Amino acid sequence: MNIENQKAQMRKGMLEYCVLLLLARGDAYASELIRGLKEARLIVVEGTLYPLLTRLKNDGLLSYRWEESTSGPPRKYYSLTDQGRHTLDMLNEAWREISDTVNHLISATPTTHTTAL
Amino acid sequence: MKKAFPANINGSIFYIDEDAYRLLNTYLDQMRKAFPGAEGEEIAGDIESRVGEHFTERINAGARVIVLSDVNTVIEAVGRPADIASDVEVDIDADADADDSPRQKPSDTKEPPVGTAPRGEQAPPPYRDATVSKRLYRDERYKVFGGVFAGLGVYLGWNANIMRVLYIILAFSTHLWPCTVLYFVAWMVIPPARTPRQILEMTGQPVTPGSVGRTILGTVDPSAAQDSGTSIPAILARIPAILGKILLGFFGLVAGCIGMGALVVMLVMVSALVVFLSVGASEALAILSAFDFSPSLSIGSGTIFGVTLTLSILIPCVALIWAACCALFNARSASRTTMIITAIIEILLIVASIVIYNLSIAPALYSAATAVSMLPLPFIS
Repeated sequence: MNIENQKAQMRKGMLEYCVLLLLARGDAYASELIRGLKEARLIVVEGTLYPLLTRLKNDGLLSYRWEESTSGPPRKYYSLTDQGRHTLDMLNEAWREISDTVNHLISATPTTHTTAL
Repeated sequence: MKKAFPANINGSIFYIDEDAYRLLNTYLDQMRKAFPGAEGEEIAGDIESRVGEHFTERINAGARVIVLSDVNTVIEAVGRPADIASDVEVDIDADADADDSPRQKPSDTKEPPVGTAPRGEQAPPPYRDATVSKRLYRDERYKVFGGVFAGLGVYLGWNANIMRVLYIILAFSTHLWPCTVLYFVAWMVIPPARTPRQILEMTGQPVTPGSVGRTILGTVDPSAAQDSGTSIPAILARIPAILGKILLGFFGLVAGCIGMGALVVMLVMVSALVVFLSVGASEALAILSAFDFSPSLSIGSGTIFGVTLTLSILIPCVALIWAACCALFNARSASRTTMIITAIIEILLIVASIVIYNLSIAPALYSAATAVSMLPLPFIS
């Protein structure tokens, strides 16, 4: 099994959820989201975020407003919609279930076995 | 020494070297091609503004001119269309399978991974098998007029030019207008394939960012997708379903006509009843007689009657063809408002036709027909 591929797929699966999580902390510019996602090593290239944001916006999960900035042209300032918050609640629940299951499996696995890998 | 000139990137002016400008221009062009449509315009605009932000940082750090290496750094950070595609992509294996054997598409039968949930909205319903996951679109890339036949060619896997010739022969042998109307209805009903996703759905290939990338490069292989349509068993397997839909459509038309007539009768009866209860018996009789035999008035003319009658027949026909196309090809259906308004107009036209017929045409026919003892009955007696 290609371990890098596997890791990349895990991260990609989490990407939308993480964008919603970042926005749940507070409204943000795309550049702030990029910083957060890069720190978490969830995206490799910045451009990835934009198709995602557009899709989430078109699905009604988030909206944006134009905010003037001191250092340049106006920028999009993204925020969660009510629908987005609702979706996030459901995703939180799903994530708890998944992480519980995985943690349970990890704790049930003998450690000698994992070191053998 | 290099030539440099000012460039407006997302509302900010940057001085940029000529070679750097050319690279950036190509890059942004690629981006725009990679994300077509209104959605894509937004994405490309966002990416351009991100490029502008990077340049602002560069200038703030003390640079005077944007040079080639700056553009390369930015492209490295923001990513090429292919990088973005592969980064968004979740199911890499599915794409690899599609490359080797587009006919099998094992990914379609699997439960989609969590990350693909928003894409799942357009996934085919579970009762369909993977080979029918194609959708009919107008293919504007190879259009002659509206792209209807180009799209049909891709959908059915037949040669579009042969279909065009057959259509023209058919049109000329059937007084032209039925085929013309049919074409325009098809044009209205079938959406054009504009975004890469639509192009992939049209050709029946799985929508993954990797395959989206291939539509950008123009390497989507239409012949690969046509295989499923041209093989004889695949066509034979689809015949019962299509016949069933045509039958259903026919029964729908008959039921619709009966229902429409019953609705008109009911409306007249209810209004007469309301008038009878609130105003009086003679007024109620007057309403009923307007739909019945009333030789005293002759306000309607044959022309108006012809127009209302023709329209009241044409509207259900167009609606039926529309509905049939929607059912057959998963095309977009009319909105609820449109349907309600059309139904109201239809009922008004039928009522108008009946009133005009009963008030002016029937009496004239009646007087003429009594001579030859042929009595045309009013619609509602």
